[in-house]
Amino acid sequence: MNQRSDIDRLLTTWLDDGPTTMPDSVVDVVADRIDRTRQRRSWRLLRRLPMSPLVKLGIAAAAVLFIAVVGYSLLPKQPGVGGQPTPVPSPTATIPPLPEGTVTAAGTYRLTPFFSPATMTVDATVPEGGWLGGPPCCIAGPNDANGPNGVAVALLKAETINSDPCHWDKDGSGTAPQEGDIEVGPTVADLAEALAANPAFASTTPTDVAISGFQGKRLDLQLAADLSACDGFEVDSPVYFVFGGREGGFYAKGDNNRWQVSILDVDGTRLIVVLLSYPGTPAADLSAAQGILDSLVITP
Amino acid sequence: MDRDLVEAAQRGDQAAFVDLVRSRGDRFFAIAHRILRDVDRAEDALQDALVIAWRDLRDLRDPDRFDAWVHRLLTNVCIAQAGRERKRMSNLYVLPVDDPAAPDDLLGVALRDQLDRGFRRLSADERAILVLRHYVGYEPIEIAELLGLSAGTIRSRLHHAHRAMRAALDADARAAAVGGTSA
Repeated sequence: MNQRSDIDRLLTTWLDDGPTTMPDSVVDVVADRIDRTRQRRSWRLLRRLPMSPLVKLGIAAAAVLFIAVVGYSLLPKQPGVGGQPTPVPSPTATIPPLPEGTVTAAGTYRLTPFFSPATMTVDATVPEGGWLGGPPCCIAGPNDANGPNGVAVALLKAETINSDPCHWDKDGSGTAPQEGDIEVGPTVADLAEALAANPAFASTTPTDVAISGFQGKRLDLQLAADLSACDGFEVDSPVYFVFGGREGGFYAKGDNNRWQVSILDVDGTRLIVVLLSYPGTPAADLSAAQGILDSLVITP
Repeated sequence: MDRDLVEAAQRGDQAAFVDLVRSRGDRFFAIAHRILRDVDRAEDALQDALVIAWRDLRDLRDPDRFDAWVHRLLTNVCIAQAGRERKRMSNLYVLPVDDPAAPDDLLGVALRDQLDRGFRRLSADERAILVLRHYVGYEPIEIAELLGLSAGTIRSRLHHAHRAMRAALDADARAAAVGGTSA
């Protein structure tokens, strides 16, 4: 057997294994979502409608008449030269997606932080100075997000927290869920209280916060002073997982990481906004990161 | 008859569309899972693809091509989602979710692990092409039509993906041999 047919056979056999049953929840979710989703008109069908030359001529005449009527209605109503200029509404600007890597032009960029629901967008105004885009969730400072002097704003969601964020990989698999995961309730308060109650790190008492008009709770976390003994994906690269599992896997990668955590209720979806920094983070970078956080415009 | 269901759904019949999802969902889900290698992400991708399918269903000219049409939508959603994942910053690591252990009747655990690691190192579109070729069973020309690429491009990517998978297996075998010697 040659190598090619060997790898063909291996791949076919390997791919045949694995889950083959759709989770029941998919049908319910899809049924709910299509109930809120209008079907598009088939423009292809409209374009393919047969059209006689007479019909085309009629449409062209109607278009000319329409333009003439609209044009006349927009003319200045008073005679004379130089009437008041008519304000022309500017077209709605399209907000560009946050680029990957260095953000070369200061401005407002759009993030879509969640896999599901994927509809939530968050617009953030990024300053000049070599900030780094990490779509779909994160904006890091000129020194990146790692210690000893990085800074970042990150958007995420989580349903669990790690009981031991340093030794998060209890089974050595590097996967979720893990034995130490703590399930938290669905509300903002549930998560805030769970974080505040975790003895693995120091935290402040949750207080009220509002970002982009959405209410929530804020607390500050002071994470471990020394990560050297923590689990990591690679040798000599320890990480510290505050949250557990999927879409919550944002971790600290540096000693003495400080997290300003805002947990928001965005029309029933819990959004976590983290501003992370280190003792060595330049004050200007920290201030700019706070500016990015304050600029967030969240659309459910 | 499924053609009737597709036509009914094209007229806005939600129940007909849900029936289509019920009858086809397992196969669609299996495809998404094999591309993304993650149950939750496959579930999300499938949901998104099916909502897009519902929204654009009136553009489907031939109801008998419903499966292939959804395969295209689903593959594109999976590729986009995998791309998003890879672009995340170094500090955001989404822990892969453990799957229920599969029976090891044909491939050993070590070989399965090698294949999995090699597969994850491929680009998202190479993974999708491998799945469409070796799991769904499409010919390269059909994959080309599905993804809007030339058949030559598909063959080239298949060749590269096969070579990369073979290299991953060989590299793991060499690493195991070295580790065994030094231990």
